[in-house]
Amino acid sequence: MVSKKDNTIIDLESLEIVFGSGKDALKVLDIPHWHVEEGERVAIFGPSGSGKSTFLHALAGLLPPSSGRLTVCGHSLEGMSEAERDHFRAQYIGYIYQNFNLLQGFTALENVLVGMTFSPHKGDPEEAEHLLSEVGLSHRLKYHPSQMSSGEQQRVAVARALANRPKLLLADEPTASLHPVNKEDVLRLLLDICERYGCTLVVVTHEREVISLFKKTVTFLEFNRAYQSPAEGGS
Amino acid sequence: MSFWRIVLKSLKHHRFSSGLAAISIAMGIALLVAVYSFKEQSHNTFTQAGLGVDAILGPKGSPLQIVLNAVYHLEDMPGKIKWTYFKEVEKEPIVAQAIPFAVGHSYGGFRVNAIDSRFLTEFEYLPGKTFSFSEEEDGQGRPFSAPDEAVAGWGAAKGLNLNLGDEFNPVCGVQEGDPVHEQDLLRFVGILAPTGTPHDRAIYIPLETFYGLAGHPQETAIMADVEEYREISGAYIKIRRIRGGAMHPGIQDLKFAINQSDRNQLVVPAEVMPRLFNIIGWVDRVLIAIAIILTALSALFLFFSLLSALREMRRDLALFRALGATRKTVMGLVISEALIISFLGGLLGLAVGHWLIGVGAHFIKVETGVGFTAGYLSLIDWLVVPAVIVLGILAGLLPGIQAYRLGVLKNLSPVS
Repeated sequence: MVSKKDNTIIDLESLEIVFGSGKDALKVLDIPHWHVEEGERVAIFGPSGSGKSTFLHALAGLLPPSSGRLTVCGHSLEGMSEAERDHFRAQYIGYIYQNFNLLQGFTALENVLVGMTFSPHKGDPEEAEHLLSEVGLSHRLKYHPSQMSSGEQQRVAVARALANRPKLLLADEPTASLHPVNKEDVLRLLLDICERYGCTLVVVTHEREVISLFKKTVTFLEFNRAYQSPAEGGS
Repeated sequence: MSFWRIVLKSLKHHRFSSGLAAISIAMGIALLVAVYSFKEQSHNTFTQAGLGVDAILGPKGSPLQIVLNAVYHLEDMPGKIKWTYFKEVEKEPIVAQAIPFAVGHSYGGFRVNAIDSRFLTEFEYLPGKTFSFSEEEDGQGRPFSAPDEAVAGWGAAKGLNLNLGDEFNPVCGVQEGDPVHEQDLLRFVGILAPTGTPHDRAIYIPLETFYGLAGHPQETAIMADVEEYREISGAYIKIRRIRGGAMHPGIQDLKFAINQSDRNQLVVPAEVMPRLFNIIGWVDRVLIAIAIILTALSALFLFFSLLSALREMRRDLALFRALGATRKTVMGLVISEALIISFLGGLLGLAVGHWLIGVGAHFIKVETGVGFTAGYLSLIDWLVVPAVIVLGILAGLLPGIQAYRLGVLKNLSPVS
């Protein structure tokens, strides 16, 4: 399963994701080739419904490739069993969601600790507290998500995504649910924290102002051959 | 954060339904524990111990009635036997001890048993245990030694609030309204230490006093002096032991021989009481069935509360999966939750069940003199832990399978 390639974090070829089968089959991803080096910060820009999230899910091992080759952090995801993909995710991937996806019954500290639970790297409360202080929330450790602003919740989500010391941080519209004032703060935090923790960052967004902060950007419409814009009569 | 801490957090999150499920399981288990303990303890008390009486020499009539009257101070004795016949039986080589008694009197609702004084000093109500008057054991005074003296069993003394020196007039009969021997005043000189047997629930007077009570007909009064006219209600018989402490097998021949007579019979309580339990055993079975149904219903309640909780937990479980938890792990989370609820319910049920036994034992002791122990461990006590584990797994299995099948992406954020 392991196919190391120097400093390459993502390497894919002819990647296809198809939902359903037979005449109901719907191809949502068809990407001929893509390559990301370790430490790169990449923004993928595209409209809603273009398959950006599906692409991140495939990179995270949440969706198996229907065909093609997909290597992430040196591991070939095609042909991996679901349990192997679970372990892969726990070990290498940090994931930030548009709507934070925090556990409502857990405090900020516990949310970060849960991020360590399934990882081979077993962290401790001190490390979780450190991560929260890194995102500026050392004063909110015992707060539940409902007691925090959306900006603070996304910071907790960032801390949790870092809890398993991931090699690859995937962020799905991380600023879409935030107040405009907070958007740039959170993005700068992400970039800064990836720099410090040595993570590779892939952000998908439909917000043009976001991509200005990234040196490397990809326009998903050109990137994903399966997508047809509404003008072209597609989804 | 450990797996178990996540389980506990989840339990805390829906603590109301979890608590209700645990309490309902506890109710079923408590009832099962209490019913089964009473069943086993009463069976042991009434059938195995025999309360020191190997056999009862009594008149013809219902053997069960004789046992209930002679040993448990219930019912009436169906007749009398001749003293001379008793003396013949007493001489039988396999008879180790024969203690004659005459019943039919009472005081304050407690039976008055006119009995040979050896009963208080030599009779072993349990192997190696004779009655005690020791204050250290909660007894008082001494055995009777004069015709106007009496001894109270511990339960009777408590029930009537008796003290040494108190006097009483025995009632001629055991029913309310029966005549009182007003000219005969007897004095309590001893209170027996508690034995946890029905012997505690009686008052004992000298056998000879029975015949001399004023108001009895002349033919009874003469029995005090002329043995050949004397009659007794019966006699406790102890049979000689053979190797290993077993009763001498000759008891069967003796029983056969005595039962040939027109007026007498030899009744073995250890043979009669199991028959009683066979007759009334359906009550146990109904109660146990109710307890099992209650426990099964509580498991069903647990099942539905877990299903309901699962609906609330879908997003959390999907998130655990997204963070790297396997399908088996999330299934384990749900089943572990069921196990903890079921286990806590089981432990609570054990505690409540034994508390119920303790409360019930107090009332039973006051009413019947039979001692039950709250700490007695019945078969069910040993089965509770494995049973609640199986119950928890069964109740959690289907919700666990649903958690196993949970779609991660379907239950997470919307796709852009």
